[in-house]
Amino acid sequence: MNTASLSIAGLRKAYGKKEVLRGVNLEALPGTVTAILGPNGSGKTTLMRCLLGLHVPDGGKIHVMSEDVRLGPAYRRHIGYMPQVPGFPENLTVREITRLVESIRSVRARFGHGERLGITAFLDQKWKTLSGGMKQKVNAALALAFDASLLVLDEPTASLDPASRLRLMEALREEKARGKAILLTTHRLDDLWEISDRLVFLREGKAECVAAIDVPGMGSNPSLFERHVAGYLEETVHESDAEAAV
Amino acid sequence: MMTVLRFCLRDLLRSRFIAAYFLFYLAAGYGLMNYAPSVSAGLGALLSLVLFLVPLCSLVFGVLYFHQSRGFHELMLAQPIGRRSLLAGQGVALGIALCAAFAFGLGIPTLWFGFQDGGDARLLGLFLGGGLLLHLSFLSMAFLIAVTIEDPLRGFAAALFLWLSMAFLYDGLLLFLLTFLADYPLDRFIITAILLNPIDLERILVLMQLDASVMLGYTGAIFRRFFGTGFGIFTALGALVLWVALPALAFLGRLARKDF
Repeated sequence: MNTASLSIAGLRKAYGKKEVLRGVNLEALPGTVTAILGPNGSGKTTLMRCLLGLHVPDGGKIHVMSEDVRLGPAYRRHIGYMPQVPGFPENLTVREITRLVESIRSVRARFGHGERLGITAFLDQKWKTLSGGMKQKVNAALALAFDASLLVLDEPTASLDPASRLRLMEALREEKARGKAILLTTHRLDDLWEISDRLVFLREGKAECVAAIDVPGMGSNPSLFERHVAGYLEETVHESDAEAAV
Repeated sequence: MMTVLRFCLRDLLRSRFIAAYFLFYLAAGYGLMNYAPSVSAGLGALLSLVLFLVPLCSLVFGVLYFHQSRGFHELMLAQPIGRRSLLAGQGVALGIALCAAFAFGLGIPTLWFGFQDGGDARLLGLFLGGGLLLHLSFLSMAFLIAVTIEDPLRGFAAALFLWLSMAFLYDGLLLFLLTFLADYPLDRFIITAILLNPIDLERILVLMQLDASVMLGYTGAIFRRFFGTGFGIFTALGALVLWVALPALAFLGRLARKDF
């Protein structure tokens, strides 16, 4: 019996002739934070979208809490998802949005972390009146509100102010301590050092290496870890330079 | 599906577009029915407006609404709900909102003035009912376009092209063929051609109930012989229902392999 909260085996996905994922294997264990890294276009978003059922994979298997994702949407009750760009119907209030998600999941939301993030102050505000940061807080609160076993977070701190970022990190540490498996993508290295246990590098459509972090800044396999982090940073810097030049 | 429908409908009924759509029809309906010399003349003028605006608004708003809901689709599809339930709920909510704005906006003045002048219930029913079916059929086509064409701009352009084709080009082509093939018996061809365009169906259905139909000449006689009967009306309404159902089924079929 597989104890992993998430198990991906041989995942393949192509857009036309372009193969984005070429047999990705990945596991997320309970009580761990797995960060997915890779340069732009390496397939991070595609991997997450396949896991969430947004994209239809061309091959491979995905199991969430031992449930095959091909068997229907019911497995997603185990997932709490926080996208990078949140979107809800503009004229609904945060309270109504919460009711909508509650109705679909048939579970009452528990806003312990949401209160800490301060969303109770704007429960009766319409979605269109919220700022980007406020929307991101609502999404974080909703992702954490249903006691999901697997949290999937796409750039979770991208538009949060420093205080909210710290609160979210604290909430994620608590969830991790409660045995939740957390899968995140981020370009912020401070997020990685703070909470990640394992780093997965996606390069040319494959999960090339899994490095376990024991102490911030140190890998369990230092040479491998340094090579990949150094390579990743170098590519990121080159991309930024190229974008700046354009 | 019902949960998504309920909340999306609540959102749409608060939107400015739906309010403006309702107010526009109310003002146009009141203005044209109030100043027209008869109920028939008022409905004739309103028919031109409906045939022009309903397909355009349904197509454009349907495509834009689908693409603007991408973030919502992404969030909802990460919940334990199927694609078809989500998108069907959203589509039905949009259909109800547009139809409600149309039915109340035009329904209030046309029924008010129509029954004051002892108007024909069948005429009013076909005018309003046909308008509702026209909304739903073009909304189905809009969602089919949106799910087929990824790029919102290209989807928008395709919606405009479809509207242009069905509202103008189709009739132009039909007229050309009728003139070109005037020496041949064309009864079946004309009726089939009308059944293949929902805008023409609504136009003929209403015109056949108006006095103006006698001015349509030879083709008018063909239309009157078929669409003026109970069977013809039933066939036309059935064709309009098919124009709603077929694109909707094609849309739902495409969802299974769609990457959101």
